[in-house]
Parts: sequence; structure tokens; C-alpha cells
Amino acid sequence: MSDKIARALRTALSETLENMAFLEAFPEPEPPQIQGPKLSVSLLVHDPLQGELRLTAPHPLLAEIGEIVYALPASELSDQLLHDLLAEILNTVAGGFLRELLPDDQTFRLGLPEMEGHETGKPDGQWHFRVGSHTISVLAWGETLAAAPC
Amino acid sequence: MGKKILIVDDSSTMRKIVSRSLRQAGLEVDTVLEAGDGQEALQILKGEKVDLVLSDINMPNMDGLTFLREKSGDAALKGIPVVMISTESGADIINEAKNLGAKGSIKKPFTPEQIQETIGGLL
Repeated sequence: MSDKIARALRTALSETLENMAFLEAFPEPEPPQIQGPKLSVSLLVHDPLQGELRLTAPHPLLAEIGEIVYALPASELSDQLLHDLLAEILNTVAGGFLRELLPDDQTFRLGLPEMEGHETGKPDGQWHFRVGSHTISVLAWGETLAAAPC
Repeated sequence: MGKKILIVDDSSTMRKIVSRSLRQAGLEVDTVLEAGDGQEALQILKGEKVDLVLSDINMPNMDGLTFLREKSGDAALKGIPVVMISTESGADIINEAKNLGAKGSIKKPFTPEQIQETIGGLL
């Protein structure tokens, strides 16, 4: 199940980043040492799996993607805009991830992305990906969602 | 003559991505309007002549299905075609959207080619 989740996440993340900014994601075995500012966003998954997904990315990577999406120089991208960008990445990744995991045409229900997460304890699953020269992390809470122990 | 399209999504990022994809798809669109939810979209449709609406489903205030329901109940707006763009892809949600008048659906993430394929014939 752990491999299936990792594959589903990689596929969803790669498709999302490729469509947004022509970037690809590669699995990283170790948690990243993110230097400098980073942003996080969370999303609740309501049905048929239950849990919370949280995506954390370094500010420079988001600025790089933001320059492409918004066609603006990084200096003109506000933190609010970068948070919105990260929220949309997580929303799209979560949808792709569930489509990969669930049977075809299985309905699922997601919450809206939020800057403040609900869970504060140790995650039930965590996956890390290299994107260009940066690393981003996906954390999951909820046994049915993250059926892989850390 | 270029067309006028309304993009409805609570994410400003997604509105920009859809707008960029419309240009990349080579569609003859000369005006792109944006709304952050279904309520705002209805207000815009009452004041502007729009050729096509691209709408998310999962939004705060008024979601995409409620927007479709409200729009289909308004004789002046009923005929404006709507295509759903969403992470949700379950058959029951898509069928409900189609029953409420949606002309098609596109899953996120999408490519400009998929946009062209789905909405090209509606413009």
C-alpha cells in the first residue's frame, strides 16, 4: 500500500507541476532540510477516505512556479499569491492522488485548502519529492488516507 | 470575432492557469472575466453578455452545482453554456452537473489541448 500511495502521489504531483510550470517531481527518501522561508497549506479529505493532507514547499520554488503561472517577476509575487498558488497545487494534487488510488469514477469529496492545518501530532505518512533544485513534502494524517506508517 | 469567457474559481491561481490555457489552446477569446464563486458569477452574467462559463465545483459561498441550479432557473441565463473544471471526477457529481445543464467537464490538472477539445465546439 505504501508503494501504491507513493506512486499515486508522485504521478499526481508530476502531472500538476508539469501542467503548471513544466516541472517534474522525483521521490526523495529523506525529509528535506528546507533552508529559508517555506509555506504550508492543508486540505481535509472527507470521503471515501478521511484525513488531512499538508503540502510544504520552499518560498523560492513557489516564486519560480509563480513567475510562470502569473507571468510576473518574483519580486512582485506577494506571500498571499504564493499561498494561493500552493493551495491550488495541493487541491489539484489531492484530486489526482485520489483518482489514482480509487476505482474509476469513484466519487470523492475534498475540503477547501486552508493555511492553518487541523492536525498537530505526528503524521501517519510522509513523502518527499525533489522538484528542480528544491524539495517539497506531503504529510498525511488519517489511517485510511495514509495507510503507510512513517 | 473573439468570444467572452467567464472563469469561476475561488483560486486566483487556477483562474490565471485557465486563462493562460485558453490562449495556448489558440481559441478565439478576446475577453476573459473572472469570478471567485457562483454568487459573483451570477452577478457578472446579469450584467455582461458571456459566450461560455468555465466553472469549478468546490467553492465557498456558492459552489459550482448550486451556481448551475440557480442559472438554469433564470430564463435569461439558462442558455449560456457552462463547462465544469474540477478535481472532482466522480460519475455522480459529473452527471448531476450535466443534469443541471453543464455541457462538459474537464479534470484538473488539464492541458491546453484538453481545453480546446472540450470547449472548442461550444464557441
